[in-house]
Amino acid sequence: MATLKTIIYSIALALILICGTSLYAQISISREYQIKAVFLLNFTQFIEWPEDAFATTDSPLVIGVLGENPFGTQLKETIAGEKINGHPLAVEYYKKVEDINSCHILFVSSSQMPKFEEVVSNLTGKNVLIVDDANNYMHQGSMIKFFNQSNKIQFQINPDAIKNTQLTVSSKLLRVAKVVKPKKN
Amino acid sequence: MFLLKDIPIKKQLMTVILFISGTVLILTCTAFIAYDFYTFKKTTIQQLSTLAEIIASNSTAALAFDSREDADEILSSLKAEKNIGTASLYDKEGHLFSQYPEEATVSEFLAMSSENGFYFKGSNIEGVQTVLQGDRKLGTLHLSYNIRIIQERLRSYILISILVFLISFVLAYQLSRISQKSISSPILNLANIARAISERHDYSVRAPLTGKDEIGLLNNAFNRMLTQIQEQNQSLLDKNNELKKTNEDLDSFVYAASHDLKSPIVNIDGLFNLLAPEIYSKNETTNYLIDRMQHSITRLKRTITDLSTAAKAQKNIFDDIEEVKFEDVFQEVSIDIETLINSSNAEIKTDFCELSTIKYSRTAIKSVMYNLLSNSIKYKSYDRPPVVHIETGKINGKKVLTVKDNGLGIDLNKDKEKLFAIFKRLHSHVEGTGIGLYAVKRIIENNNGSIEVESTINKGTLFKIFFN
Repeated sequence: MATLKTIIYSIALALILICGTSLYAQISISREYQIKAVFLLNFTQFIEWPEDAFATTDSPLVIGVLGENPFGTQLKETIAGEKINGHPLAVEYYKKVEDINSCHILFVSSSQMPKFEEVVSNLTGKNVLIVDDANNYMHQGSMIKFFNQSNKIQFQINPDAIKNTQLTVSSKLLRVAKVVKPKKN
Repeated sequence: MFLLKDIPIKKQLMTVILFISGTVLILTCTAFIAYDFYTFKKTTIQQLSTLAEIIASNSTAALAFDSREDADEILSSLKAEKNIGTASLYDKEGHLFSQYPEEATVSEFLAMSSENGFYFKGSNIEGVQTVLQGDRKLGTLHLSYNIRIIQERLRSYILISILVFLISFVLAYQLSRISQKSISSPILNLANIARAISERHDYSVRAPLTGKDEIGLLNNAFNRMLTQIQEQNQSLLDKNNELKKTNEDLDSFVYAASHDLKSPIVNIDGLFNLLAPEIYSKNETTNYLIDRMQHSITRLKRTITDLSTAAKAQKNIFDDIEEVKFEDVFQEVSIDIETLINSSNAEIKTDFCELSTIKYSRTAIKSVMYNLLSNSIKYKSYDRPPVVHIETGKINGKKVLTVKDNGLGIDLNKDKEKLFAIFKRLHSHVEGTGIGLYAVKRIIENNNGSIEVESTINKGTLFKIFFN
């Protein structure tokens, strides 16, 4: 009896542990993009767009997601009802590079990273902040890159790349980010 | 202030000055401390609010991008401000995000009702500052400021105040010591002059002329008074000198008169004594007239002798000073007044054991003893024969002659003044010249002695002659 009980308990404990871990892993991924969604929202507070980036004083500040949407509904929920300097926030999803409309932040999901060069060349000279979470693109025009370190979402900023967009980045944002040094020529 | 009136005017002035300056100093220091304390508290709160705003503004990104390291770093910059007790940053849900110092125990959760602002709370100033980016609330900063520094400042201010007070007080003391002189020194000067005048009777000094203030007025009045006193004094002195001179002239006159009268009287006496046996017993009337003349001549001689003695005493020109034996003098006097002693049945007891001799004028001593003894017998009681004690001795080191009788006695309350006056007589039932006691007094007092009289009516009189 005692042994049976012990075995049942052991199995139950193992099941709970396994399920728990996988559950945690799942929450972790969804939580990762939840945090990234919040960060995208928060970027709008520490970065200033020039006035002519908006059609009118109350036209929306658009966050575009290029490629496969990793946020689900989270980004939409996060920005719902938020306003920055009178501009309401809006999300637009673009399947392909050609679909990119006028937006202020463009999040490039990993599925579209192979076409990153094209994205960058299309947006050159426009007031668009290009954000991604893939490695090795920092010197190809990526302005902000999310990365995961010690289970924490952090980001790198490439001030050099942002310089051409006429966006003003708050020094406070630079404080909390890893700043990428300019590429050596 | 009435406590001041017995201390010197210098100290009174200084006490008043120090009292006033002390009060003013205390008031000033207190007001200064109170004002500074109040301002410092206000400024501290303002500075704290500013600091909180800066910290809050700096920590927006840290809160927005969940960077505890950055938040910790921002808060740790507070260590430059050593009076910050604790600082804690809460996220927008009110959960603790970062704290300073790291080991501080602060609340894990902040009630969101707190409004911006800082207030005194116990020994701290506490308050919250909302962390805003644009118009979005990202969290709340809570600061606790230790007011130890305010207390320290207060303590050092009180210390400085006490120091300032002490220094100012010493300064005020020194200044008052100097400045009070302008008031007190003329007064002290005047007081010294007044004291000098009352001690030395020198009315010729004058208070120095000072300003036209009340003290100057006082000095002037004082000087005018002195001038008046001096003038009056001078006129008194002049009058006195005049009187003295008149007196001397009178004395000289009396002396000369008595001296010049003496030999004719002695001549008359001698001639009469030769004449008397020739014309005696012719008839009753002649004999009666001879006796009366004899008597008058004796009285005249007595009066002349007394006057001469008194005049000599007054001029103090006794030339027969020697070691005089009281017993000898007494014997001479006894012979002179034998008739008087016998006729009154007087009993005379002498005691010259303690003091048998004295260096004095024989004439003077004789005159003194003659007058006192004859008075004692002449003014005898109506009821009993006179008993006279004549003694010499020493009282308190002074040579003394006492003559004590059991006679009529004198009412000293009424007649003390008359007793020693010239030509004054208290009784008229016996013969007398009215010069006797005056001469005694003159002799004794001109030789630095004194006379005391004790007397009881109908019991007797005691004369004490202190020689010197």
